[in-house]
Amino acid sequence: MKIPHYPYRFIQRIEEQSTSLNSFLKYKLLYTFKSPKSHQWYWVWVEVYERNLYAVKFHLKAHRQSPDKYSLMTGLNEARPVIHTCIAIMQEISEKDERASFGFIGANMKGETVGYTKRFQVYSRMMATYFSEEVFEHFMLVSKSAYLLIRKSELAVHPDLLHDLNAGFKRLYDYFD
Amino acid sequence: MGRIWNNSEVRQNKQKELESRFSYLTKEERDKLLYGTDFVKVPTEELKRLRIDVYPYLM
Repeated sequence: MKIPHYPYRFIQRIEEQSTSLNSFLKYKLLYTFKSPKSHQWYWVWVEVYERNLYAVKFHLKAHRQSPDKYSLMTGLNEARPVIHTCIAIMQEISEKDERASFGFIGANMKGETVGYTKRFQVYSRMMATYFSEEVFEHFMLVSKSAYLLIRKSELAVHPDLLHDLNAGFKRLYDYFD
Repeated sequence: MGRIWNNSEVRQNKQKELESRFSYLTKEERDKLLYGTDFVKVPTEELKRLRIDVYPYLM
């Protein structure tokens, strides 16, 4: 059964300019949807990494130029349907790629530290609710508010998968140092 | 890395909250989950606690 969500559409696949053949980050997918409540447009970015890892991010289209677009509060009181729509996108990806694993970071609000953020707490609840332990192994990095859903079938084939992802993120992003 | 909190008051409050939240874990397991530098498996008990009662949509 599908989760109730706002209608969304896929916009485009964006190749990373700087990526080499050995790069951990392969490309990005852009989706969009409009909230019928606030009439605001949202952008959902799905970063696709090696080992079929899909990292999901979203922000208001109106905030797209802001360097803090993932941290800003919208004040629109529609977090749940917006997150549900992101989860619906994850479900669609999961149906298309049976090897897909997922990840996200709960960005900190202004004045909030990066560990165990409010967003992380909300998103973690959603992940625990909508992604079964039978299919996905759940991992947390509490001090960075990062969450991974690793497909168990992939872990069985690649026992070093978590280690590889950890190393890839640390290599690519100072945030994980 | 490790303990990355900046403001001491915020740090203490968050640490207290987290220590309490994960009090069912042994100290070693709790420290690894809360202050480790690598991803750690979420305990089944924590997943149960987090889960919202909407099972029909479970994937």
